[in-house]
Amino acid sequence: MKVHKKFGAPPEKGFFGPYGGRYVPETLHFALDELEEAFRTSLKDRNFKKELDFYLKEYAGRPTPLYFAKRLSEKCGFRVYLKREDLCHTGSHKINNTIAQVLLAKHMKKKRIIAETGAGQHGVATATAAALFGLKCEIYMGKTDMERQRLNVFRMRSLGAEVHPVSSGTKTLKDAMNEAIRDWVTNVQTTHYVIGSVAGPHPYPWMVRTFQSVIGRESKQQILKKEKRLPDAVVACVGGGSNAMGIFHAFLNDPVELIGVEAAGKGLSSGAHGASLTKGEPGVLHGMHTYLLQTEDGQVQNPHSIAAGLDYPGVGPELSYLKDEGRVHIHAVTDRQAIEGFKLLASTEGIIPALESAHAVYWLWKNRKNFSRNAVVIVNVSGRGDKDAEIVEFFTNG
Amino acid sequence: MGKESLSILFRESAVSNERVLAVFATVGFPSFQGSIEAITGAVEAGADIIELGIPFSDPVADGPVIQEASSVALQNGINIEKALEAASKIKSFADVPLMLMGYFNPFLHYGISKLFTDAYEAGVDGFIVPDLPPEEGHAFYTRANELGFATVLFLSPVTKTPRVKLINELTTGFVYFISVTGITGAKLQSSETVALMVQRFKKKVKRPLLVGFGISSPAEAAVIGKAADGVIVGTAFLKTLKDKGLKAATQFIAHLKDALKNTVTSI
Repeated sequence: MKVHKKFGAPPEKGFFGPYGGRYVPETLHFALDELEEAFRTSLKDRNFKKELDFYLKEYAGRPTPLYFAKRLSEKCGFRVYLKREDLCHTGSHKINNTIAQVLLAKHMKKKRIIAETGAGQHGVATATAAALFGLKCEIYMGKTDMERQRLNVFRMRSLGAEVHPVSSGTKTLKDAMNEAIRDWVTNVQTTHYVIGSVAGPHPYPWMVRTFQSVIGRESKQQILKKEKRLPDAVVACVGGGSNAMGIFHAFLNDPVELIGVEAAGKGLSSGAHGASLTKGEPGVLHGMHTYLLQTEDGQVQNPHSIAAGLDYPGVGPELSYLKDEGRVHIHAVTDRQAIEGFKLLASTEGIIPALESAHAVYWLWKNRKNFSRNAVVIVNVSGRGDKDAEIVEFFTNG
Repeated sequence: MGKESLSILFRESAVSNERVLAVFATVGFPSFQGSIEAITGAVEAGADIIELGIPFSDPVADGPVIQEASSVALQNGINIEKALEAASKIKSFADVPLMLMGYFNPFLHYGISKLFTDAYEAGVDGFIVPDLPPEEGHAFYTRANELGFATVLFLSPVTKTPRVKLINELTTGFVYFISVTGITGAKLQSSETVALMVQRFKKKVKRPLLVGFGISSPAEAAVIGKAADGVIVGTAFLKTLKDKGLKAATQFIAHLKDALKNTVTSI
């Protein structure tokens, strides 16, 4: 493990090593400059921080518990802690970022909020924050995702958001993001685009990571209090990478192994997966240079995962950098294994995780023999699994 | 080749009091052969510059018409090799400046130095890459310029002055002025409003300024042409090609060219 190099600094001119940047049509540069300026100002603004902390505590339910999973620990043979982001208001870590961004949008005097969503968790969290602050909200969601995450579509509409079905491409997260970008280019002066992951053009990867890093800060304090020491490893699932960067950031310069678990879908050799860091090559999509699933002609390859939130062909640029540097280790878990992880956590701890988070749970289970008896490991339970009940039932009973 | 041929074109059009008409078409739409016929038809009808569109799976700057053309072209197996083959065929029929236009990732994946070599051999005159801004594309544009290619960078109604300087430094072909904040084929504000914006920006740019995005009629081209050095038409051309066929599409180009001939004298 490298200790001689510092990680986790803000990007230099928008880049983390060779990754990141701002590969977007000219019209958006104005908005990205404006956003970066507002974000930098907010970092120094005590009132902004106070307001954000207030809503995170009183409204979103932070800090979330770091729960010692007793029965899972017994089964694994070492000490396992669960960071309970599933207990956040709206059911996932996504709310940390949306409250912050919508608050920022309000400071920027934007009247309208748009967002893309895959699993619907980010869409629900954005619609919630928009309702909280009284802004108009429109969400782009792939048609395929709308069908497999109907409950979240209902929630977004109940929260007063308009949900636009996207039927281009694979009708999933990537296409929803394309459509949101098109909307933003068109309405750039009145609208703030709330990106839900540590992805997209600079400053989004940095900004979203900053807003999500509360997960890791809390986890570090909590584990130091409970165990009087740092954990040996932290495990999180990786789609775009917001929950992973959120929990990893506080540990980047500590002797802690950081493990990101991607979606191996139907298998890494099947071509149907979401494992951009494992199987992709560097390329440019959605404004960033990053690991990308692509064909030999440089077209974006269609990803697949049973977990809609991991069904994305790219990944946040900072994770690409941390992977190349060897600071984060990347593994992959299949659809079938994720279902096992889902059931395992439900039956041993009474916690139904999102299928996304279930990837991280399964990885831990599968690799339990590699940890010593004294090991302490934190798994980020990024969201709760109610939204996935139908999928798991269908997958199990067929 | 390259920036030379564009310079000559702009000088000649200034002398003859005409405005330049650039036409965008996606390689492989409606088919490989069909796109070559459409482009040579457009050149015969008066197109001065061809923007040869390379399809991409995720064309975020494009509206529904070019998105569909892109997706049809991908189904027809178009990649950079095929696009260069088309470029070389078009150049053998018509002596017209030909720009390769595409999103950055396919170029990047192909390999930039290989791209420059192969594009030169195919007779390509320059590059337009809508998602490669001057900052991220500094090395790309500088190298292309050194090799004699024409480069085209974008300006939008919301571009701030410091960026205009950077754009000026790197542009050797023409500046592509986006007429609306929006995607290709967007609904235009009134042509007069666009013309006023163009007048304001034209003072700031060092190269010829062409206006694109949303121009769909000879009347609009005429009004905007008065203020700019020319116009770019893509969506309206492809839509006519798709709905009404090749003959109607080339007629449309001829009408646009007529409108641009009359811009200067009609004031």
